[in-house]
Amino acid sequence: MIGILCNQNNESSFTKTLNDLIRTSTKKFDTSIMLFSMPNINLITKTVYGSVINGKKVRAEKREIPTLIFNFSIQRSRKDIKKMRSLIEIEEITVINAVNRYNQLTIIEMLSSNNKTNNYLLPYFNYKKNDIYCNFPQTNNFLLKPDKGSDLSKTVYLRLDEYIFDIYSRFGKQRCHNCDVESNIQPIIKNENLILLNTPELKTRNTQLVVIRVYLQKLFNNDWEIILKDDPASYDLGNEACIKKIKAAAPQIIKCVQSFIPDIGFCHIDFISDIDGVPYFMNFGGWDNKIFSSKVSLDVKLKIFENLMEFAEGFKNLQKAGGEDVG
Amino acid sequence: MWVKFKIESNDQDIIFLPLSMKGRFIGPVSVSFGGKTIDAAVMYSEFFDLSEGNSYENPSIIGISDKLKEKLYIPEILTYRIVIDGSAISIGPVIGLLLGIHTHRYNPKHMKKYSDRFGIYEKVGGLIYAFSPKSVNWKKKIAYGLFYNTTTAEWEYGCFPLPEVIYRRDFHSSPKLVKKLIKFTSNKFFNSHRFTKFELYNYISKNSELIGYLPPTQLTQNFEQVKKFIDANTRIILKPVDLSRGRGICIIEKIDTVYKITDYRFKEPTVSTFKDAQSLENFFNINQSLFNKYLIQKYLSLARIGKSLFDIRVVMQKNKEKLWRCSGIECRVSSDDSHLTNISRGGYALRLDDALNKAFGSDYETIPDKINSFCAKFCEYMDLMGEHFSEFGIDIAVDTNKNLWLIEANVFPSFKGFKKIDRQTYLAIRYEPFLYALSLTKFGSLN
Repeated sequence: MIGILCNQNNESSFTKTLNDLIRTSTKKFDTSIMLFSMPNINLITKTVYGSVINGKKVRAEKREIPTLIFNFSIQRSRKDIKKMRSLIEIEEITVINAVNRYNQLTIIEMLSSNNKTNNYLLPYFNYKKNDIYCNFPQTNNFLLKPDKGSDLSKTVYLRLDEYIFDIYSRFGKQRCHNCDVESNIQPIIKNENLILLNTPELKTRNTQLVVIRVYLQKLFNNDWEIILKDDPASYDLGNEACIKKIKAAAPQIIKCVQSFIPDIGFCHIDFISDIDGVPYFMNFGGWDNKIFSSKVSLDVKLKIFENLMEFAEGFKNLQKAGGEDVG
Repeated sequence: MWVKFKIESNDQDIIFLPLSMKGRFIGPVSVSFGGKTIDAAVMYSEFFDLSEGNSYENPSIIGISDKLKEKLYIPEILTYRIVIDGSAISIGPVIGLLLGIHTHRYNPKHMKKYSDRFGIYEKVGGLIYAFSPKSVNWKKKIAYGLFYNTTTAEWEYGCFPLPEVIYRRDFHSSPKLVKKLIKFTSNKFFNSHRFTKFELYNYISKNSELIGYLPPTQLTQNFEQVKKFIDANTRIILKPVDLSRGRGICIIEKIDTVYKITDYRFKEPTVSTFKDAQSLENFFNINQSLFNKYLIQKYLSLARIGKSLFDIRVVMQKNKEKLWRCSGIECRVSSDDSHLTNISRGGYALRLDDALNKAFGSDYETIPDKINSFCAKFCEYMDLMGEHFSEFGIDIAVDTNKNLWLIEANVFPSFKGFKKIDRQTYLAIRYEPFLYALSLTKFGSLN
C-alpha cells in the first residue's frame, strides 16, 4: 500500500483520476493506493482514514499510515506544517515531496554553489516586505517575484525602453515612466518578501512574459525524466536551441537541489529566456496540481502514474532487502 | 601550523610545498581532509612557505592543484591547520554539525543562530559545516550542507568530505544513519544519545550515591496507580517523558478530599478543582493522554524567593582537555503565581549567589559546593552509559531543608538566561563544543 496525501478539496477529483489511471494502465502493479488528506491522519495511533483505490470500487477505510507517501499537497496552516514535520519524523515512514512550495532564495543559493547550475542564474537581490518602498532599479530591465512558491501570477517583468518601462504582469502590459516605477508596481505585488532578478531583455509574447515550465519525475534508478514542457506554444518561438538548453539545464538543476533536499520525487522548474534564446532559472517547485488537470493529456498522466508505481515497487523491494533510504 | 591555500591550475593531484622542504618526501604523499584521502605528487616552489609557530592571523601559504582541491572538496577561502607525519599530510579540522531531517529548512537564514559560536573560530580553524544525515553520499564519503564562510560571515551551501568529528544538534534522525556516522567517525560523535526523563530516572536510580537526589517518580499507567501516588505524596507533578521547557505538565494537589489541578498543557494555565476521587477519575478518563508517556513525580517542598519558586540550571561541558567542567550556573525564578521556572514560560534568571541569598539569607555557603560535587558525580556516571556525551543542562532544585534534588537533565540544554545576565558565560558555553571537537582531532594537540 502506498499513500498519496492531497489537500482536502482535491480528494474526490484525485481519487477519480487515479482510479481511471489504474484502469487504463496496461501495466499491472501489486501495490494499491490509499489517498487521504492531512486532517485524517492520526499520528498517535499511526492510522489514517482515506480512500483505497485499486481500479475497482473505491472504498473508504481506516488503515495504518502507509510507509511510503507521495505528497501532492501544500500545507499552509501552522498546524498542518507541524503535523507534516511530525509525520516525517516517524522513522518507518518515507514522505516523497514532503514540501512542494519552496523558498526561492534558498534554491537560488543552492544553485549558486554549483559551477554548472550557477550558469543559469541571473544576478539577484532579496527585498524584504518593507524594502519595497525603497528604490527599484530605474536604469535596467528587471523581474520581481515572491520569494516563496512558484505562482506565476505574482511575477512582474519590467523592460526598459529609454525612460519608459513596459510592465508585464497578470494584468497584461502597462507602461510607466522609470521615475514612477514604485507607484506602478506596488499595486501589483502583494505584501510579500520579493526576489529581484536583473535581467537582459526577455522573451515576451503579446502582453505576457514567456515562462517555460518543465516537469520532472524521479525514476527508481535515480534518473530524472522530463515529463512535460508546459505551454507548448512557447516553443513556437523559432528557437530550438533554447529548448535544447532547457532540457539540459533542468536535470542539472534538480540534481543540485536534490543533493541538499533528497526526498524529492516530482518537481517543476520555470525558465525564462532572453531574446537570443538563452534560458535562465526562475522558479523551483514540487508537485503541481495542474498536472492532473483536464488540460493535460491522458498519456502524460499515465506516464506519471506508471513511473510513480514503479518507483513505489522498487522502494518496497529495497526496503525488503534492508536497503538505504531513498536519495 | 596554520595554512591558507593558493589554487594552482593543474590537471594532476599535486601539493605545492616550500623549496626548503625539498627532499623531505620520497614519492607521493597522502593528503587527508576530513573523510577524504588522496595520493598526491609533491612539487616545490620558492613562492610558498610553511613555518612552525605561525598563527591563524598570519598563516603560511602553500599550493594545491585545482584537481586535488576538487577531489578533497576543500573550500579555499578558509584557514586550516596542517599536520605532517611521515608521508601523510593532514589538513583540517573538519567538524560537522549534525542537523535533522527537515532538509528544506536548512538554509543560510536558519543557520544564523549558529553564527555567534564562530567567535572562537580563530582558535579552531578549518572547516565547520552543518549537514543532514539525509544529505550524505556514503559512496563518495561526502555530505551536502552549509559551511560558515568566516570572510563574509555568511553561511554558504557546498559539498564537503565527511567530518572527522560530529557535534549532534538534532535527535530526529534515523538511528541507522546515526550509527553509520558514529562508526565513520570512530565514536567522535558527541551528544550521541538523548534520553527521556524516565530513562534518565531509571539509569540514575541504579547508582547508590545519586539515587538520593531523585524525587519519587513513576511512569503513569492507570488511574488507580496515579491516585495512590497522589494520596501518598499529597502534591504531585505530571510531566511528559519527552518534552522540555515545562510543556505539557500538570500539577495535582490534594487538599483534604478535594483535588486541585493546575494544568499547563494549554497556552494559558487552567486551574480546576475536583471535589472527590470520582470526579478526579472522570478528569483522567477524559485526559487519557496523561497515561501515554507521562511521569508522575512527588512535588517537592522547595525553597522560594519571596513567593516564587526557583531552580538551578548547571551547564556541564567537556573542555579541550576532555574533562567535565561547570561552564555556568543560572537560577531560574518563576513569576509569582506560576509553578514553572522556564524562561520561555515567563520565568527570569538570577546568578546563583543572588538567588541563594534571597532564598536563605547568608546561610547558604555549603550549597554551591554540594551542587558542584553532585554535577561532577552525575557526569562521571553518565559517561559509563556507553554513549558519547559532552554537555548537559542539569536542573536542580533546593528544598526548604537545603537538600538538592535532580529535577531533570538534558543533553541539548538551552541557556537563554545567561544571554541576559552574563554574556561572557553565554558565549563561553557556545564556544566550548568547538574546542572540545578540536581536541578530538589530531589538530587538537597543537593548542
